[in-house]
Amino acid sequence: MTTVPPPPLVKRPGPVRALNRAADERFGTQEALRRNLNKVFPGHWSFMIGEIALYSFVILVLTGIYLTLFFDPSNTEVVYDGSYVPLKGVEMSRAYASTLEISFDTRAGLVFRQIHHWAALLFVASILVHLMRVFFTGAFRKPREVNWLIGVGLFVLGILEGFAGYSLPDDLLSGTGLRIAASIAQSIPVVGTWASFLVFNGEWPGENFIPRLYVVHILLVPGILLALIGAHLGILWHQKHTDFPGPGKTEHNVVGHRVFPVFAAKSSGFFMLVFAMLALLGGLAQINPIWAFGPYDPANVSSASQPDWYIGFLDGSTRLFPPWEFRGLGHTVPAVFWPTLILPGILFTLLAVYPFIEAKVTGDKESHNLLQRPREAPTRTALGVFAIAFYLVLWISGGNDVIAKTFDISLNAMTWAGRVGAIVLPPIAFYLTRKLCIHLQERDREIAAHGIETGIIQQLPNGEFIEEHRPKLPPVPDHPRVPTDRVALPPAGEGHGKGDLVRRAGRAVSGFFVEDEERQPEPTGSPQRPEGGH
Amino acid sequence: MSKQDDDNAGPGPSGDGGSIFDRAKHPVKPSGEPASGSGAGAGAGGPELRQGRDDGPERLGTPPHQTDSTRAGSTVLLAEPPERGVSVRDPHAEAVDRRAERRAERLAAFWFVVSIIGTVGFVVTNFVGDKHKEYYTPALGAALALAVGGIGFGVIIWAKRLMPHEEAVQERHPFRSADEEIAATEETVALGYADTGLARRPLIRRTLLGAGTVLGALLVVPLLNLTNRKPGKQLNHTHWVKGARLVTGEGTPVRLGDISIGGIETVFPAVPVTEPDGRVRYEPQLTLHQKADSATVLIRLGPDENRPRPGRENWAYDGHVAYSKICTHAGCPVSLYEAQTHHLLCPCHQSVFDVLDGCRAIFGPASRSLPQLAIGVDADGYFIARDGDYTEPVGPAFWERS
Repeated sequence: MTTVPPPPLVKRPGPVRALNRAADERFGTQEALRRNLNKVFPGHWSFMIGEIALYSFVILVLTGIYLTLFFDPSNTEVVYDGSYVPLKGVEMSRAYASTLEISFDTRAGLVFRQIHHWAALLFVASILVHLMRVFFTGAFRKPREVNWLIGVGLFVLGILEGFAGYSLPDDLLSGTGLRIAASIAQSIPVVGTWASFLVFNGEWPGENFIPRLYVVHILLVPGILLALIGAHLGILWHQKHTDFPGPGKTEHNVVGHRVFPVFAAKSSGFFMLVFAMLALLGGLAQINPIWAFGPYDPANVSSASQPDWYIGFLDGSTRLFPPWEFRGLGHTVPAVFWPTLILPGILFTLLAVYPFIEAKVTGDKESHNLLQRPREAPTRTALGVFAIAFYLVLWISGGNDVIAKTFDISLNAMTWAGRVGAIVLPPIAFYLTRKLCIHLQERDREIAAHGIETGIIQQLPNGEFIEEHRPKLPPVPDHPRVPTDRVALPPAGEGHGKGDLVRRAGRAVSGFFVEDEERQPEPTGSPQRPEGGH
Repeated sequence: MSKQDDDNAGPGPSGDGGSIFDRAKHPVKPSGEPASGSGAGAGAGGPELRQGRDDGPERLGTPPHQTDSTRAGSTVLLAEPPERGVSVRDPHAEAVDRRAERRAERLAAFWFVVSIIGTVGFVVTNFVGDKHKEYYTPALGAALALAVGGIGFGVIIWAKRLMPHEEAVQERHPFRSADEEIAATEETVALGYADTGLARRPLIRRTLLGAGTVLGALLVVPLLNLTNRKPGKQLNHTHWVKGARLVTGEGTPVRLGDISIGGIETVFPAVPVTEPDGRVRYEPQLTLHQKADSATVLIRLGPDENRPRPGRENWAYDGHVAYSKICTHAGCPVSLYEAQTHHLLCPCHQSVFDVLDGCRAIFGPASRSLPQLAIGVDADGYFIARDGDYTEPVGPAFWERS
């Protein structure tokens, strides 16, 4: 084995070793430190999408802290007297005025504000793509259902946090968004008016609402996000990452790079690149130019006003939903209630419980560490594409006025196309995807049974021509494989529950040869129940 | 498994050999036997497998660190049956070619230098640059991108090209605990619960449960404290009063004849206030709260175009009609007016209202007509709200609305 026995303890430790020993004397760190430094993370490009979400969050926190130093979340009306000439002398809230100050009169204010906004867009986008990766590869299956639930929670909170964030500057666009939010709250049966009054502190536009929103945006939701991200990563770390099947990869091992140094180096490098990308966007690509919208005015709205992309599907569902208002017995359930609360409620609930539904339907109670290709689960993949088709129709409809104007289509036609499309397209997508998956599976079986076409034509003695097939070679690993423990301790004494490191390491590697290797019972000092202890 | 012992004296931790070159130059044969003569000085042994581009015994300044797979026989050639021919893919150029390795080193170093330049550029632009100039934000963004991206590129090149190309294998453990472990834990909890006596003492159990529930209900209090403004009938009223003048957003009263046919004006109430000396002053209601429910559109239609609803025959004045500007769907201002079709369009969700037909909702998600305001003209020729407020709540519907 490559694992070497530990060298003798260094007699005169340098500062790093001294620090390590000082920590160990106080916390007993060495075993856990070694284990975590040697932790293996598999490498696949699709596993980096979730990392993008994590890094965006870090960048959001960093840039957000900078913005809080200058932003004044106040509804107090002031007359603008900054350096943006077109708005000089205009009455506006302190929130809007201080956002203008950040944009025009604060050093590096605009660049960090724009990085913040781009990072928010990327945060939600990478969560969504990461969610699709997890869904289509079956990574949510047992034992990872809880992390799926946390992930769905992060997705919903990410959308809320983004909405709260772009509503803060109190410009015309964000005010319009909040106005719609108040109408939605007001539409809830029985408690709607109260809900709206409590949230906004009175009839729209409420009293001193921006400080409230600010606390939600910089403390409440980020705090929950942070806790959930911690849980998400902690569970991932504890359960170890899934991986695609490959040479030498089994349900019982992980193949990849150790945390220290390669994974840590690549990941921190990747963080820097995500940051660089966002810095470029923040510097060069204008986003949310609030000075162009003007301060909020309840009697004004700019045409073709669009929310940030992650709200688009709700905007679309609101536009498409028919004007079904239920009136009777002196009460009303407004039309806006269905597409903005009931529909997303159903969508996110289905999303959250999907792992449990699938396990129920397939009767699969096993734990899975190896991922599936989408084709291997045709119904799941087709359901996923069904959902994507539905989402896309809503999302596109969220900009149907812009599309109608750009391509000179009737707006009514766009709306009707969306209404019909939302019902018709998803089933078609489901059917086609399922068909395609099954077809791909058949082709895989064909290749497994008959090999790959070579293009070489042979003539048989009876004169028949056939094409020569060759068996497809199994893939080879990219790199040499080594057990993850670099240094192994000699077998520990009785009661050391984890057993012999060297033997465990050997077993991990031998998993390559024999997947069904017989497992020796671990020589654990079987816990003896003390007799008569009570 | 070839359990490797220390007798195959691989270069020890203190030895100078063990360059990743050795591995590449003396790859372990597929059969699993270690290549001969590995260790002891890079470039010295194993000539039969030497790669062509090796240029002699030159040593780099810093030999790469020994890694697990460079130790003799370490590449256990896991599970690769001999008939496959290859054990792993070809080594990267950096592993066999020193010049390639040095290039990679220089490339990583180049990016780190780029990062320094970017950071300096950011600091200089930040303090010396003129924040009102157009270049300021793009220059900051680009400099910051170089500052962080330089480190990013450098580190990734370093990790991918110069760190050992080996993959570690770690065993997974099933999470389920052993049966006796579970039984012991469950028993521990059961015994502890028995100690509390909750099962035997229903009085304590029920009162505690009751107290907890009541305390939980206390959460409603801070929630209700969020506002002192009870909804009541507030949503049914706006700031329009009888005799209020129709004024523009700037507070200018609108006079008969100000609007041409096909024209539209957004108006707000200016309520009459009687001064102590008996004169009547008109106070424009233009705060956010007043605008939010009182915004009204005043539209002048052609003669006889208006088709008033029953009972509203005299709510218009000389072709002028006034409707609430607040969309009955989600509360956006209905601000697009198509003079040809006489349609009002809400830009938020594209509800369409037919002005000629009492602003009935004819397309889109809105379900109710826009409320109409009865208008007239006072003695001075100014438009006024003839009868006072709207006769129904404006804006989006709500539960209490009939």
